[in-house]
Amino acid sequence: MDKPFLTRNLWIYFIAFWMAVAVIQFALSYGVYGQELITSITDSLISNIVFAVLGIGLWNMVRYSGKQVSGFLKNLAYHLASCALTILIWQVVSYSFLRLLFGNNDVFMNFLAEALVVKVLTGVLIYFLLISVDFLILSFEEMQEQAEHEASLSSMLREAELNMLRSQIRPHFLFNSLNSVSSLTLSNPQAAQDMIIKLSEFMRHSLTLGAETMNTLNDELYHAGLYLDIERVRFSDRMKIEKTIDPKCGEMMLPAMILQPLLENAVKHGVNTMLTTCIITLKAECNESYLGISISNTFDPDAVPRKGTGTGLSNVQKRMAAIYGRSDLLSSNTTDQTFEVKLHIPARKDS
Amino acid sequence: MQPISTIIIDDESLARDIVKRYAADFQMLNVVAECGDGFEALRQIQAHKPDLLFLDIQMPKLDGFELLEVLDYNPAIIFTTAFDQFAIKAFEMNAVDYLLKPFSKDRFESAVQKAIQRISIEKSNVNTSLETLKENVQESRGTLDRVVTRLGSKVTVIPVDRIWYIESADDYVMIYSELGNHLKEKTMKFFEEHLPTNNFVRIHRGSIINLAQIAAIDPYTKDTHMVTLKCGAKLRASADGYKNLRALL
Repeated sequence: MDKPFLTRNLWIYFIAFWMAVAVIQFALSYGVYGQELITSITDSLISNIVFAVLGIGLWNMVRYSGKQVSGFLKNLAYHLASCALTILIWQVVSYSFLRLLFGNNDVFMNFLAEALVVKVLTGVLIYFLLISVDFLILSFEEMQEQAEHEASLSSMLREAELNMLRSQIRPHFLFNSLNSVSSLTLSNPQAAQDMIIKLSEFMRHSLTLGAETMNTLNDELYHAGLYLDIERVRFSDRMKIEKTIDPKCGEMMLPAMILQPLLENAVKHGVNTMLTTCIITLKAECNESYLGISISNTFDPDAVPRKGTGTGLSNVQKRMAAIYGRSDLLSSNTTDQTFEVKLHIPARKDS
Repeated sequence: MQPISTIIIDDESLARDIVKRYAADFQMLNVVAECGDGFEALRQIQAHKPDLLFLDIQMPKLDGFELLEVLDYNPAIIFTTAFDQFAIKAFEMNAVDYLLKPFSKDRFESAVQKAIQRISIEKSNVNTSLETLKENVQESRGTLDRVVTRLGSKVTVIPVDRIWYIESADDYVMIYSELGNHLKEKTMKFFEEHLPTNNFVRIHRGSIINLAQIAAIDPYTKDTHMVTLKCGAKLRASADGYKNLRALL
């Protein structure tokens, strides 16, 4: 949590600033007021080194307590007090040093006394300059921290979303499919090989996608077809697929794998509840502004709805909302014996 | 020893197929039937009284657990399942074995050997493994979403939201529902623990009601209330029961 109080870059600025102030002070004292070279250099070095050290203390004060003081008046009072204290310490310390060194140089000691008012006023200015810069640095750092935090949060969310999506490929599906393959290797090796290839292709597609990956309808339908083919091997005559796809929609874009949870739902609530043939219908239509997809399945009206209904749908809804910024893109409709989900996918210019 | 009569129950034909092929190589196993759903399985089990079942868990209509619940004798059971954490836990002790799909022939053989052993022991002394198994099933299932009852050969699956109320009847409970009245060999405590707690409440030692069915609640005696349900039934709520009820309304 604790940071080094200044980064390397800031140290350079900090030293450069004090060197500039020291040079100005030296120029004034030596050039304008005609002080000796040695006293001018020493005065300027001592005053500014002392103030610089105090400045480091101020930085820590701003960092660890400045934030706790709230309200403009309170803040002002706080800083006036701290300013007075800082200047007092600054002057007492640098004066003591200079007196120790040049106590018997009357001209210089007089000059010091005369310059006191100017020094104090300059000190006040520098104090508030320092504090302002400290506050700026602090809030800049806070902003950066917040941005970093937000970035990591949103990537975490995206990752979570993706995991959710991936976990849609249920272990049930995977292991049951592998079991079908195992059975086919004995009875029909060619069919077993076909199924392994389809399964691999399907898994590869689902594992490489990102939450915001977009894909063409043709490609998505191809992979949906792989999935349905695999399920059809498992359930044979218990499921039937009917497709009505307008060929002109093929190149329209939609979020990758967005159809998958809907198809899995259709199998879960259709095929898995019925003793007779379940009909899964897949339709796509479009115009220049949108792509409409409908997925429906027949179900047994007497079947008792089992747990887990709705999570697939709400995941799709959330993902659509995250991508398109609208929450009205998914609708569903239940009649006596069919359940239908419709996706309304706005057309996007990007390819 | 006589051949072991066996029924294979799985809703996927390829899954039944591989069990059948493996089983064909064991002279001890005599596959008398194969079934694609729980109801068909129940009919075949009644007809053949097999010694051994290969049983899948996820099936349409009546799943593997529910099928077990309504069996009235103790066949040996080998579960065949793709992925089911609950099953693995619950059956480790009491099922003969469980085969995780896909499984090898060696794995299948070791399950069959265990079954042969179990069956030969069981034939000489009565045991209650199915009872223990059924209890484990229930404990592991969490909240119920339907209840399976059986009268003779008629099996009824009652969705819990169609249950009106449940009353205790000696060692049984009577379930009053849209689908009629059904006796079930279970305790009130079981239903209190396994029905969805936001819809059902035990208002008395002898009754649990579905909140959605309440028509009226009236004071009755000093400490008790009378709850009238939409079906017309009037049930007494004890002081504690009324407190439970109030907490949910």
